[in-house]
Amino acid sequence: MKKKKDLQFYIGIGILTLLGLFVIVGLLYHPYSSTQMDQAAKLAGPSMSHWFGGDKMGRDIFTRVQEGLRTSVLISFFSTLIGSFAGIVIGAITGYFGGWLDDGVMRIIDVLFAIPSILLALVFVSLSNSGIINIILALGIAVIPSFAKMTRTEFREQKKREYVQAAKLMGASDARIIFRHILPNVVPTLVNCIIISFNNCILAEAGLSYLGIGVQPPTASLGGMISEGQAYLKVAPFYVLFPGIVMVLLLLGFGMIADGDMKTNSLKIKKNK
Amino acid sequence: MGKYIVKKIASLSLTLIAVSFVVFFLFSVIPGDPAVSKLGTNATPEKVEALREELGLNAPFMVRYFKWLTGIPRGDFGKSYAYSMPVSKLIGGKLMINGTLSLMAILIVVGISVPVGVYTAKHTGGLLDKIITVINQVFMAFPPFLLGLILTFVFGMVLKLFSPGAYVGYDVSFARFFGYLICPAIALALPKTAMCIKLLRTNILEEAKKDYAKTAYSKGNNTTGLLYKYVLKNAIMPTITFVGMVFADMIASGIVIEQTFGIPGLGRSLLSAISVRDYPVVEAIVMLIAFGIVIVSALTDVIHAIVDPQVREE
Amino acid sequence: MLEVKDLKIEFFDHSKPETAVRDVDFTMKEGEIVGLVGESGSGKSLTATAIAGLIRRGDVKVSGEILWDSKNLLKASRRQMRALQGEEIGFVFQDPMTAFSPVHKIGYQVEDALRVHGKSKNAADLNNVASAEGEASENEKKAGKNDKEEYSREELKALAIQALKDAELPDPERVYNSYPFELSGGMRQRAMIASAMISKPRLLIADEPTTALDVTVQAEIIKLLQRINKEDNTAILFISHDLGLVKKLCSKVLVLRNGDVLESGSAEEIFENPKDEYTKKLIAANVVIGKEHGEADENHIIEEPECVVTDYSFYYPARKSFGDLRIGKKAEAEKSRQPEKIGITDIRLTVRKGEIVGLVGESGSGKSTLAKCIVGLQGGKSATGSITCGKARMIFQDTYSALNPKMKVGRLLKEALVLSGIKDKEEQKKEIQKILDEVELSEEFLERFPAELSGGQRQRVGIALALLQKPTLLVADEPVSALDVAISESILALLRKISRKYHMAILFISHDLRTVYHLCDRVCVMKQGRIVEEAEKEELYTNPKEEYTKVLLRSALE
Repeated sequence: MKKKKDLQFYIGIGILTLLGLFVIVGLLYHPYSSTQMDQAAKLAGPSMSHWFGGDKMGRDIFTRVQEGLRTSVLISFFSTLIGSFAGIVIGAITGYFGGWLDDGVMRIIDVLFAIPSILLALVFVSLSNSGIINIILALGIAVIPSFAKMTRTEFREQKKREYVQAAKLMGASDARIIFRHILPNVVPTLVNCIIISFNNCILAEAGLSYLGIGVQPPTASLGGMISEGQAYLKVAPFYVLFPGIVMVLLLLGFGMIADGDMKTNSLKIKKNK
Repeated sequence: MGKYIVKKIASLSLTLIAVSFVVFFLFSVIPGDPAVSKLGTNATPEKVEALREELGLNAPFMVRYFKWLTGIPRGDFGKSYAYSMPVSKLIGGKLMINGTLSLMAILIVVGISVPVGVYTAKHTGGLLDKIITVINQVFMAFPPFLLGLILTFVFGMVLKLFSPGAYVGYDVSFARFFGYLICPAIALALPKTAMCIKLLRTNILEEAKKDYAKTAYSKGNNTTGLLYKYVLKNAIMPTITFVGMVFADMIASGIVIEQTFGIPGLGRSLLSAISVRDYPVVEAIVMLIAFGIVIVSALTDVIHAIVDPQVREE
Repeated sequence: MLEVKDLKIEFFDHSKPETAVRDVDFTMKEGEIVGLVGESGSGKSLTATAIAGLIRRGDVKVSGEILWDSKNLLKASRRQMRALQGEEIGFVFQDPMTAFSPVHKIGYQVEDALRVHGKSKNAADLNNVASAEGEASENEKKAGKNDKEEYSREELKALAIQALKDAELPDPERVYNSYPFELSGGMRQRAMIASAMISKPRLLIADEPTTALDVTVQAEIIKLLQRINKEDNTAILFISHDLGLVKKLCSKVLVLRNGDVLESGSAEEIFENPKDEYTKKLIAANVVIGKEHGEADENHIIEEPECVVTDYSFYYPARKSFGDLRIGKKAEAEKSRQPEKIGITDIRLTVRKGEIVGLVGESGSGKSTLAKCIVGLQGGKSATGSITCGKARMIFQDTYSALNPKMKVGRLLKEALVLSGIKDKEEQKKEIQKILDEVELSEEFLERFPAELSGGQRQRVGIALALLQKPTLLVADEPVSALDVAISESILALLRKISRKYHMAILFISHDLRTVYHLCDRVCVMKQGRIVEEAEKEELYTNPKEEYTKVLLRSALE
């Protein structure tokens, strides 16, 4: 069993390395720009000149998938960064101090949980203008509640441990206890949470772009390309296929890491006991 | 138990009122004037002002909010800016579509994941268990709309089992309406089913390691007896919670999947209403979705309380 | 009836096989009570689980012979074994809270053995099963199932209620319909015994059945086991680390250590005339109160109060929840789930310099609450009365939880220094060196994480952490309860040394009256949040005034 768990983690790493290589190849070899149109390549299948074929305007799908991948990762990265930072701070403070502040904040978060975050993001992005910054903000805010709740639970759990009381007795300040004593103990869970939330952001961004609300053309995004390709599913299945494969690989890779990582961590804890 | 349910309903109503406030508040602070967006940017200020008055946009925030809030229990969500007709008329029929779709998807999730989860837990390490684990991992990585396209391609275009885009309303023929929703429901359900199988399997294995399992063995139970008598009831609870959460996700991804299959549901109404800043429609849809989610989460809590007496006490 | 020969249990889950139990030999006759004694890791529980056929992991190898009516159980099929389990062999586990499924009613779980086995008593006969079944194929299994006559619901309930009654549970009808969390620990253990005894097994294996319980409840459970043994002539295999209980209950004793049987024989032989050094040590640690050991050092107490608690009361705020109308049963359940949330009332207590004061009480007596109030972790505005204290530091029971698992010992110690204002690297180094010598740890431990230390070593680090900040009062909350006898003794010696050397005032909290006797100068007895008796040690142990103290002493020391 032990070996298999590690295996999953390494396969995840392998998939992501593959995608990394794919991006590097794209950076080194890019005969076309992502918006350059070539009438001859219009909806043409994969060939030596256009590895992944051409799209409805004759743009090179390989180049556009590259750009889409980078856009997706970029957006998700910053959204997760914003969301996790805010969420962790909120969760740490409410979980550690408890009391009325905790009650109040948790009530609000419960309310926010009643509105699916992607719906919130959708409304927010479409009613403001859909610039990349807005998408990042919307998705980032959308993941705050789940981060806050997760972190809060962890902190409450840790707070029960006696080492926290010991630190308090030694005269450590609350801030010191939160950041120096408790935080290192919850990092494994949080790392996992960050990866999962990164995946959720990729999914959400893809969904938004697929609906035409997210990243706006001519900037390529994986969701947007799949949406464009949908109309040509019959004549040019590769139009959907390549961005689709890349997106699934991306999600799969991170999914497997999150999973494998969690398992190896719990394994370590068991060993220690 | 009765007291528990009463308490739940009370907190549920409070949550809904809070949600309604948040929603209404958000739309009143979002930049952009619905009157301008209806009349176009060339309209004279007088005309805009007249329309604002007509739409009731000039009243103070709290007045507008209370008028809107008190209308909701009667099914009155106000009038659409764009179509000048009651919102309820505009979206009433869509509820049926999304409701059916979500329900079908949930049924698929539960129907597949419970037996498969139990099977894989029972035969851990077996060949089938390993295969299912791999399949699960892959399915979890699929966005529903991509699965929808694959299903469309395979069943619609290659096998020609259904015709993509040829949606039939439930008022025309419920059987064909239902038949058309099968593929979208599967697309919605599969990723969640995979997660649910995995969760259930892990929980069962986790529970089977607990002390009470040893007690059951010491009474002469075999593994099957242990599983069905004791473990399942203990292991099912996180799964119930998860299914409740899945429901929220389903509704959100339902909006996307509607586009894939060309279903004129709440999602389409939402998108078109957003594009013309038809706030009453958007508010109503968001409220309805929140309503559904809150009710489902309350339901899972109640089921939880039925299964686990300790929850009732808290 | 039962004969264990050359029992050997090996683990194969690590790279090299590990032998956890070797050469265990003993026999049990009908109606006999045999005790397996040893500390954690001695293999006593493993032996018991092996006899009951509960070792089901593929990576564990059990060899030797376990003969039940001269049939080797180790050669029996799973199915044959199952026929015995719950029918002929009953098992009682240590922690009745986790040994019951939390979401099933007690009644259902008590009945289970009957439900599994049906009415046919001879199904348990190994010979019968073997010949009728041959190779137990799936079909035959089904056929076998049809043979047995099932109990009806009413019969099951009647029998379960009778069993609960036999286990001396008050109001068995109510218990039958309760969930485990609604009962107190003692009641749960009685229900557990009822569930094992319902089918009137010939052998009852009790694996540390009283460890999770308070002393007064312990004594009752022991009485119950004695009665069961007498009335039903049930043989009992009693596993415990507590020699006092074993002495009270068993006629034959085996002493185990690290998987080896050190000594075995009749109870009298072993207790009167132990041969093995280790046994002697174990017995010595359990000696009933006698003479003060060590030289009398009367003048170590300085007549100067270090900590004075006056008329102090503190209650935890009631949990707010609207429409909260918890009464009776539910309130009780609430309490049993949160045993530490006990308020304290009108506490008067003085600890003098150099004095070690023992604070004794059962769980739920409020002793931990008092400890937290004294060091300042609890209390505050809602408390009344006063606590005047020098610098107080605490030593915790759970050494695993009390040390931050992500900090190496060195960093932990440094943190304590930094927090008391010593920032100079050289000075830190000197202080740490000094404290390591004090608690008898070598320097190599500085580079280790708490998880890499043993329980005793972790507790030494805990003490070092407390001492580093130069307190004048140490509050030790059950510091040795989680440790084995030998280690706990060395920790107690360390505490005594510190007390004498620095004239440290120590408040020593424990549920164990023996430990308290050996260490403390004065003893306070707590019950339900109040100090019910306070006296010099000798006075309290020889001439208790309060009825409660008498009960405590009797259950613990007899």
